[in-house]
Amino acid sequence: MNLKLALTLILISSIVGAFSTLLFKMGASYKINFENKKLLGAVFLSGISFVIYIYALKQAPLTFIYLTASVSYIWVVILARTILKEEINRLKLMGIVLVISGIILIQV
Amino acid sequence: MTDYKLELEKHLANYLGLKNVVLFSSCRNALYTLLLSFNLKSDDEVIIQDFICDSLPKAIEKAGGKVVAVPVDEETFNLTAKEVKKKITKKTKAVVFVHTYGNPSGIKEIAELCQRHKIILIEDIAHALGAKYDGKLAGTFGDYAVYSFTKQMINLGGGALITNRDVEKIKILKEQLNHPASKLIKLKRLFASMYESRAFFLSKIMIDLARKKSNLKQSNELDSHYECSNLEANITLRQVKKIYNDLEKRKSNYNLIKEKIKTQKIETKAEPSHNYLTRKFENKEERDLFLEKNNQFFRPWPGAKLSETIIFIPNSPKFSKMKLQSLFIDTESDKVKINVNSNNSSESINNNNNNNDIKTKDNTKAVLLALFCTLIVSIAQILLKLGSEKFTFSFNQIYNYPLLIGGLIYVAGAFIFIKAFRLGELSVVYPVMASGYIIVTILSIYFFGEIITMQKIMGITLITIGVVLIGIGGKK
Repeated sequence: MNLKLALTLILISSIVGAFSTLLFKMGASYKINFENKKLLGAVFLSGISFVIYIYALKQAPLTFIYLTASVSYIWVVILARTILKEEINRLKLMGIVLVISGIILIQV
Repeated sequence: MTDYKLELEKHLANYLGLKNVVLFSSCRNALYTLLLSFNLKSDDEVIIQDFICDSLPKAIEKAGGKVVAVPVDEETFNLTAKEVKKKITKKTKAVVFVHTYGNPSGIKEIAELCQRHKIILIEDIAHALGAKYDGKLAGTFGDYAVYSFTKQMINLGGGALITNRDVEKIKILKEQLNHPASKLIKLKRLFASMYESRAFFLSKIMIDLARKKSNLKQSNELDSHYECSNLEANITLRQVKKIYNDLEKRKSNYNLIKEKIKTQKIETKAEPSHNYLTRKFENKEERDLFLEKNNQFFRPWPGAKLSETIIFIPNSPKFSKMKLQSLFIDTESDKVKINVNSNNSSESINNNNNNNDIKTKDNTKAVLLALFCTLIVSIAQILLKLGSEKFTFSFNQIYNYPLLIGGLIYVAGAFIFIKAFRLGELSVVYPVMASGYIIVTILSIYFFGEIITMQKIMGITLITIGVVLIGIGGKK
């Protein structure tokens, strides 16, 4: 068990995963085929994110990893705000605060 | 081994109430052999509709006849007695009547016309087994009927000739023409039939691949293999009953879309098999614009004037009311685009109309789907954890079965979630999905003996609620 390594790995994995979600969203409005570069990129990134996630799983208990991985929701909201110019409303903000406090609680 | 071919012959003869059935490797080979048995002279004419897959005219030419193409009716997509009459000459030997997309409209008048002029009538019922006109089954009006086993069902190939007339000559011809199927032919036919029957449980990518591999747009070539296989007969026997059972459901699908859009017209006495659903557009531009957005639809046979303005899709008895609506009703952006082309002022009105149509979400189904998905994804997490213990960055991971299976479920889960989100509202689906955190925790205690403190329970609760809020907040 190596909680510090696990935490770092989940953070990386979730950020990569969030970028892949972003690309999925951007590619979704085009036709689904092998020429859709955004979708290809999204699949590639989610693959990388998945491998890192598995490596993280090796380091720590499942509940710790799975729950901490929920941080990816926060990255997605932030990326959507900066790149897609989606709004952050009160509900999302409350959600983010709750997720962060939850993650902090389970770290101990 | 049971002789399914014999059983299928009996079934088709019984069902249609005709005496003789000859099985073939395909519908077009059946037609070709039949025409060959007429000993056509080069100026003998065979009338066929212009809206047709070009394999049939090719078969006529190869059998030595002259093709006379007659334009179809723009509404029923079938030949009409009025148009056929204009083209009848002393040289007219036969008329091929196609029950287009399963519609028998017009068959009775043409049968009477052919009888008066003593012309052979061949019915192509490839789409129309089970269809009726005036209470009489399609295929029983003409002198001969040809049927395909790949249009109303999913099969490797196969077709039949059904008739009350003598078939000895045809059987002998078939024997003479037949060569055993090579492996390549078998493979080609498998792919081609997948494409033809638009096997809708296979994804579009698979079907496109099938088309490329089989190297033919539709399997138009007359191959040298004429015999139907026992396997094909068996598959057909098992599926024909489904065709009869699904007639009602297909009809109600048609009735549902008929009110909303312009589609194939049905004469009052006709009871089609509705094997395909069609949509007719005002012009080619409008049609192509719609096709760009809805890649589930297919373009019809090229060549005829009608081909430019219609699209079709296999009529699945499993289509829900919602699926049909989403397929056939223009999405907002379509309407806007079309309106920009023609008239800017009506844009906003149309937008409002469409919003009402689209907001028919099925929450119960979505929740069940999301629940199922959450469960399997949670189990996948357990498998992934198990697999991760053996995880290394090397190639032998393909033997890491828990990891492999967990990964597959994970990917499948992602697709099911997308489906659930499309079906139901975000505020309903998100909480179900977030309950995965609780499920995974319980499973971890059970499988791995992980210790859960009060503090962790609080953390889990906060995260679950937080994720739900973020999800609901995403709703505009």
